[in-house]
Amino acid sequence: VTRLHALAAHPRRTLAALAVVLAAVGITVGSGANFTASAANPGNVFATGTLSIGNSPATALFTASGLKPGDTTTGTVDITNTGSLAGDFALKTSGATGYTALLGQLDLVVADCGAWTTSAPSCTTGTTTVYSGKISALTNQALGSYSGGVKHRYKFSVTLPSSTDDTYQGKSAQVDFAWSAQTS
Amino acid sequence: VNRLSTLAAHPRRTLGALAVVLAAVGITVGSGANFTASAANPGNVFATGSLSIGNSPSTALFSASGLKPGDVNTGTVDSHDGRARLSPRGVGRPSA
Repeated sequence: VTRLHALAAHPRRTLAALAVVLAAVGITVGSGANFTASAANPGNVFATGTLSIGNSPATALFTASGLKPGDTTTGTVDITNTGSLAGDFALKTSGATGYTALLGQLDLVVADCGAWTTSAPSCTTGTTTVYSGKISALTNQALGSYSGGVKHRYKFSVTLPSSTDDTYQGKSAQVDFAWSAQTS
Repeated sequence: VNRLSTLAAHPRRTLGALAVVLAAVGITVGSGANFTASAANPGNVFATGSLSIGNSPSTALFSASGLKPGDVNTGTVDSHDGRARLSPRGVGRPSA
């Protein structure tokens, strides 16, 4: 009580003392200041690419009937990497039905006619044989790596060997040609 | 043999080690994941033709007996081909 009385008795001195304390606090707080700076690399985007296959036609390449020993039938198909990523392409057969032994008798040659430019590649010259064997043995044939947007033409030639015996007369078999790709 | 004995002596430790190896293999195999795509040309059909002969009659054309020099016998037979073309040599001609 005596101290408060003393302060109250000398208001100027009290104010002066308070002013000194305020100034000290100000200096103390202010001394914590620093120069700062900041910058950002904003809007980083992460997007996946795509890998997809387009085949034209997407229907059967063969509807061969009345085959006899020595006959050859052909079909062509365009395969496109319609995605943006490079992919390792492969070809196999699947879904064989009917007299499947016939698929073990028919010879298949798959020729890569090459990549499209502005026009289709020739399938008569400059082709690369990517498969030669029985249809039934086409289980997983690698075709190579294609960049996004690349389109190749393939020619399929199927021959019933001249040595085919009468066991195969009047028989029918059905099979799918399946294309696949995975990122390289 | 020493090592195998050590493993046999500590079955829990051995199992633990095997589990770690299995997990490592799983991770290694799993890391082979890739984007994939597929397409198909389905329903390709391959059918052979047939070749067959029908002959009418399918019995003997001749039953000639007592032939003597200069005798002539005739017989006729109808043949028709199957889906494939029939070679003329495929049927026997009635001999004179």
